[in-house]
Amino acid sequence: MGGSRQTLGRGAAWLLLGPVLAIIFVGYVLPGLALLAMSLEVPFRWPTVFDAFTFRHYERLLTDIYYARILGYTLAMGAIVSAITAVAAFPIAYYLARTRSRLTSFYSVLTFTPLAVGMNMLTLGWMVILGRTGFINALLTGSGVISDPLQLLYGWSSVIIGMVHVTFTFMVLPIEAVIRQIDPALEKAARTLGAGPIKTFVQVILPLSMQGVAAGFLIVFLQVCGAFVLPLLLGGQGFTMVPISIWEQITVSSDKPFAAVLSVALIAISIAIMTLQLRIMRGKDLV
Amino acid sequence: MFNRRQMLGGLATGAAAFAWPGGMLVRAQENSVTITSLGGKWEQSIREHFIPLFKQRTGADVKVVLGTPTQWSSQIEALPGKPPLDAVDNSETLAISLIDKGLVSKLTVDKVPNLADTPDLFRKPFDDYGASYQYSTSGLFYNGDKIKSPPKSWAEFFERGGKGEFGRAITLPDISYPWGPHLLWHYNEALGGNVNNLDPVFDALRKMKPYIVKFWGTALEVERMVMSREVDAGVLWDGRVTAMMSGGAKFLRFSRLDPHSLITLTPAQVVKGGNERLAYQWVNTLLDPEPQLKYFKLINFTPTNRKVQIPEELRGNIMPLDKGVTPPFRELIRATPGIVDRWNREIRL
Repeated sequence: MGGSRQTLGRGAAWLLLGPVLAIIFVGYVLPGLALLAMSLEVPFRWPTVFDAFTFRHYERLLTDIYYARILGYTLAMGAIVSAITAVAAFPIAYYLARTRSRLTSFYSVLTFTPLAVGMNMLTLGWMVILGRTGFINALLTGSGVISDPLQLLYGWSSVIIGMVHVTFTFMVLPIEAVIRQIDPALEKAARTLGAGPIKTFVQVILPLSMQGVAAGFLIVFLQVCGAFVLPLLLGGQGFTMVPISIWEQITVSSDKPFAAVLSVALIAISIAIMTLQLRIMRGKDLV
Repeated sequence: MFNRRQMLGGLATGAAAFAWPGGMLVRAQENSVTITSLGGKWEQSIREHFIPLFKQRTGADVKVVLGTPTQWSSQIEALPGKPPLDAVDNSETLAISLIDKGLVSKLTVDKVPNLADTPDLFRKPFDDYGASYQYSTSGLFYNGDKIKSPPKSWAEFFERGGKGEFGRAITLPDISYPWGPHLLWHYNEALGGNVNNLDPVFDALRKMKPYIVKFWGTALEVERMVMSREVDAGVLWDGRVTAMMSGGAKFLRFSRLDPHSLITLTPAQVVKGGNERLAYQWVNTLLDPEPQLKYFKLINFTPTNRKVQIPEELRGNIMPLDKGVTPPFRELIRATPGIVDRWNREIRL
């Protein structure tokens, strides 16, 4: 009886897991295998014998300074945007976690607006704001602060501004969730024992909320590394990130194997960073 | 009940059957044809001008798949023999790629009667495995309020632009634009180079680079830069510029420079293994003079059928074909990875 109940339980569990496993298999495992096969120039058609493959596209990636540079740009952009977003999002997250205002729901909705509007619309919005005839330049030239419009678009700064805005919600949510779990009595105890607000923040709140910061950092970093439309439209010449280069290899060079190599490299780096972070945060829930 | 092994086995088999290339994905195709279109005005014209005529002649349904040639070609390549598309509007490069892979069928006058009224320029680059129903030509757009003495030739444009005569207000297509290598080849030819010697164009671009606001990757970008007056001069297709001019950009001018303009084509192709009977009729509809004229009035890209009667007031927008050139497509395809590589090193870095 007990044995059959156990079998039934396992069967039910696999049945419940089924849809998720199917999505992972079809949406991630199969495309991942197809990508890997393409990068090695192996035809992805069953039952092809996987006996002829080449590493020459990987060699190109490892020996060509240009691609090392755009990989570096991409990772640096991910790190910079994540850091700025964390700093910008922390006070908002803290306020949302601690406030008892009747407007809390309204403020929460406000933090969701980047998600609601979408990346493409936000990108176009920033193009209007930062353009040579855009809002900021019109304000500065109209008020006589500057005589010639500034070049605010098409560089690192415009991409960073846009990405921080687009990913803001993904940083606020995990930090807020962690801060909510911190007992306010700890802050009161620190203040009672003589710690000022800054010392309380640095020595009590920040260490206890690092799990949320780490989770937000990871989400934002991965989003930035995979961003395409925003860097394409807000970035300038001399500024290319890996996703744009992948697109270029497919649409212009018709070099799908090398595009697959760049994709595999980006995925591998993302997984490595995720694994590293999970190891560092081992034993601590990432929210 | 199921155990874990049975469950995983079933899921894997089912998923593989659905997702594996050449798997069980099938598509009803009896009396309908699946065709492609760019979005926006292009889709509007396909739905308003071409589909009604096609339906009237065949009684068949039309399913329109929006997207880009890259996406469509990838879909066709992924399912050879069981394509998700019956006819495709392609770029020249991708059209040749599909021809070389044997994935498209040859057009003949008996299956596509309007082919007879389509000049060779729009068919022969594809050996009749595709025919272009429109073309556009490259040229210089400029802000007439600021540039009173526009250049007459490509050499003059690059020389004066490289000296900063137009200010830091120039935009040119990026190499990531799918027609970027074509345009680069064309400047190079106009500057005295050839596909094996790209030094003239790269020298000119290096000099002009300090005055470039941005190398644009999508037409949306350049149109936005023009309309917000972020740029005063640049290179774009005639149809897009005249559309902006007729849309209210009074400051904008368009000029075709000597010695020639680049012609770009949009070959329509019949996909092998699809509903070829209806796909041929669809391509024939695309080449028909009646909807082509309506298309031209909406989009401003020039029709290719000789029988199209262009209204007098619009004839000035059309470039005589002998003033245009097309690249040697196969040579250019072979040279493109090297061109991209050189661009990355000399223009981007």
